[in-house]
Amino acid sequence: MTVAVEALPCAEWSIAKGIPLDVEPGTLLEAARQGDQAAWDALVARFTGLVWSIARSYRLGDADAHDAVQMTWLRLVENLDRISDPERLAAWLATTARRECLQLLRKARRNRIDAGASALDDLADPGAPIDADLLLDERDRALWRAVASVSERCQRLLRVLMASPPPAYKEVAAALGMSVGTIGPTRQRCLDRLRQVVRADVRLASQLGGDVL
Amino acid sequence: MSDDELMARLRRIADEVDAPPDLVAESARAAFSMRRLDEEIAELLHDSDRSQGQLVRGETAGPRALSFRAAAVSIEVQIEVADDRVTLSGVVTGASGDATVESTTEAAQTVRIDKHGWFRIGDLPAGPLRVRLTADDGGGVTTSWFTA
Repeated sequence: MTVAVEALPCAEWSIAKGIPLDVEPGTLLEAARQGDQAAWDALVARFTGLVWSIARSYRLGDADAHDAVQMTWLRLVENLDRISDPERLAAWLATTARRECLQLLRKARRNRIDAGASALDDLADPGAPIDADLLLDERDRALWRAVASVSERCQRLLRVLMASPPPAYKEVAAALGMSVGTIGPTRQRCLDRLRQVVRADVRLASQLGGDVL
Repeated sequence: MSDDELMARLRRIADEVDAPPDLVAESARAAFSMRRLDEEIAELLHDSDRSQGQLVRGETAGPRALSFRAAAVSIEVQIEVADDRVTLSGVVTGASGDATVESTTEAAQTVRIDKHGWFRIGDLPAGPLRVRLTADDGGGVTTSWFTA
């Protein structure tokens, strides 16, 4: 399944998920401007996966991730009549989501400072770890744990790339404040790092070797 | 396994273990009902959280302060949070009338802006908020959304 799904264009992917969205985002945006809730819902269906993945990539816990996603959509409502280039809507959402995530991280830091936390606590990860035990497949669990061992930068990039449907590189770049040209090479390096983690761990290697390496 | 195959496998796992909760999509759809046509938006001009330097142990940041600005009106808001409930204290320049605080989860609260331009509204939910000024002559200005 893997390669075929990766190659599906966005519209077909949506149909595969049960949402008949072969309509361009620009058309949906225009309809939403006219007040069409169904068009809005279709935009939400198409891009919430991306926005959620961005919030998770910044390690926001459930409540903050929810706020970040909701704020991103509220900003789109605010700016509905001001988005000049509908083709760039996805990248606009990604940039906005990034900004909201950074704001929520600042807020979390301030709350820890106000609570009297030390400067070291200040660096602690505010997000909750995702429960890999939910995964039935033992090899999936092992792979998910391996992801947690690569650098923070790689984890962040990979989490955005895991969005469903698969995001374009320009959206990934907007989400992370990186240039589009660095996404491909960084992805390759991060996946190589992931393979090294698997290779270096005897147990992971025996569980995943044939799959991943 | 190729990079694309590995990536697709990771995506499948993320779908299984960390898909957006239904509530998240629901509130994203509901955001559309917060649209306000033909009302001026006061944009965020300054956020004390963004300009504070590195604080060290023992220092506190103090209440967060936001400034919003529309063509003829400015609104300063100070945010205090206690037990996950929010109190907003505001001062308005260039308008008089009512101040209303809206959230996405609870009923809006309205108070009269006093003669010095001040207003204060407490017991608000954490999460997205915005302030709307309704002038006595009927004109309205709404701040952009912020999270307390």
